[in-house]
Amino acid sequence: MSQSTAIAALGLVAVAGIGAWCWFDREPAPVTPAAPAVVAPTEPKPSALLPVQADLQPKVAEAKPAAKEPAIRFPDGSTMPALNGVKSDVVIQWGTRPFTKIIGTEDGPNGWKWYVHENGTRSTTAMIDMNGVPSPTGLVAEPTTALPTRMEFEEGLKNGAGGSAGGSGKK
Amino acid sequence: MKAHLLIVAAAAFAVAAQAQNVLGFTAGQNTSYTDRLGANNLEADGLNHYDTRDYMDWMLDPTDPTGATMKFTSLQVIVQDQIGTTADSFTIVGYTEDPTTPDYPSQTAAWFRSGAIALPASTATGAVAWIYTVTPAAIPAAPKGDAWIGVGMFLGPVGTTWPTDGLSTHCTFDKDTTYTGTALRDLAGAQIANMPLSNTACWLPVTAGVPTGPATYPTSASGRRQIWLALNAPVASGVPVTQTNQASYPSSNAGGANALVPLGGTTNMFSGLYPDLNDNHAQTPARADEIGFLVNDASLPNAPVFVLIAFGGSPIGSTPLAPLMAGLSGPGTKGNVCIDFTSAATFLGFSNGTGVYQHMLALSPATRLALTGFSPIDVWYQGFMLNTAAVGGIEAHATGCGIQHL
Repeated sequence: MSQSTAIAALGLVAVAGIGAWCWFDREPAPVTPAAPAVVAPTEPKPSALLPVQADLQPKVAEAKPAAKEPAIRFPDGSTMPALNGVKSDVVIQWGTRPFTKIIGTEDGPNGWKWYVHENGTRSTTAMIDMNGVPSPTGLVAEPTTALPTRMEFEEGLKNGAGGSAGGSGKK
Repeated sequence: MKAHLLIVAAAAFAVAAQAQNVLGFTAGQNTSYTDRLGANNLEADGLNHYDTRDYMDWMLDPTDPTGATMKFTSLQVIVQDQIGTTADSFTIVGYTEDPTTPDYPSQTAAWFRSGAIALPASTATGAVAWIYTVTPAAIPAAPKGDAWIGVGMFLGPVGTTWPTDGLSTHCTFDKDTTYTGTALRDLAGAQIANMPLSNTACWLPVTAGVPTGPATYPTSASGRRQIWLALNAPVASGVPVTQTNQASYPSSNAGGANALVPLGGTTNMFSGLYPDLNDNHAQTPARADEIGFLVNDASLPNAPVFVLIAFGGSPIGSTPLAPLMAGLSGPGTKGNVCIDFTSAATFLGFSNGTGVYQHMLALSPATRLALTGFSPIDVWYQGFMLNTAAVGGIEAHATGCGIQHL
């Protein structure tokens, strides 16, 4: 690559604004305003999605872990013990809705234990293979509206029942 | 003001913290149905195809100074179990391109595949759906290029067939002009007719996690779909965005309150990549889409953003940004230059408090007509964000290139 080419690229990247060119016949759109607060999608209430059963009643969350105990680190900076045999700290990548506090735990059908959050979100850690190697993995599961299949939707229209118009668009 | 900002950018010294960004593919993506992409009663991987025809250098591994590998850190996908009380699980999976069959995922080995990921408990006897965010300790890096990323769907419980029971994933479907239903489907501009069917989502049969056959793509345009699938990576994200007036696809409308796309619009693989500038399909009301580019880097809130727009790629090929900046590059600079920087028009804006900047072009009627006259034509975008708090040189984050087909 020639030096002049490199300089040209540098100029575009670092000093581009000085020589902003007009493209076609219009000015660019105004500067983006501050983003509105994140709006959580309209979702079914967790209680409607997951009717509470006696054996699924969340337990009271345990106290914060001891300093050396493997932990999940949540977006608000709080930590809780890592679950399901995970022996290292996990920084969990949060989901699409704001983080809410933990109100208990529940056991999943495969034996995994999950934290239950105030807004119905579940979170946990587990040793899950990645390319065949067990890997500490963070999981967040947020309840959302179930959709019809394509056939169900269109048949519903034919039968006059209509189909759900609800997609999960505002994410 | 601009010069002042550049001086600040050049004189400051610090490395921005690595932040996980939602790469913008799902901004304003209404979903239409839950689907197994055709593999209704087969174990299969449902995969989005991220084609270099549309996106280049968009999730480069920031630890690779050569800018030749891609990597992400977490994945979000919506999985639906038709009967909540039955135990179901899925995997996350990715492929690179088959070296001998362009536009098909390599069957010899997956790029990555997770073990089974179980769904939480449910007492619902009907369908339940979950937005999953999966963060493995590490997704391995792979050579950059076309990528197929998605969800591995096991068979439903023994004795059942889907959709009576079993797992599927939420998808957006393309809308053809004959469709009169009310599902949230997206009618793209006329140039989508030039989109190869192999450019869209597919399914790949697997047995116990091992691919057993070639990928199957839709056989007709009406079967195009895109899995709702978000990726997170510590890189600056840049994707084309389109605002439409479709009542049938409201997430593509201007305005709204979606923080991921502050001015409204969709970044999906239909109208997002194939806008309708001049009412190609004679819709009522007439379409006159607005086009632009959505940039996002959570580590750089309130930062200057340069958006470059051109009609092609870099004449010297994709090149890492840092070496091009020679001695002016500071720590933390990342990404490649993939756009034709020799002819690009450049615009300056500023990210908002969450690191998002949406640049819309506001085309005049005359410009729309002119662009239509040149059709088919590709418009390339690339963004460069500056860390004004950087010290020791200019810290710039390059987005990938996004290509809109007009």
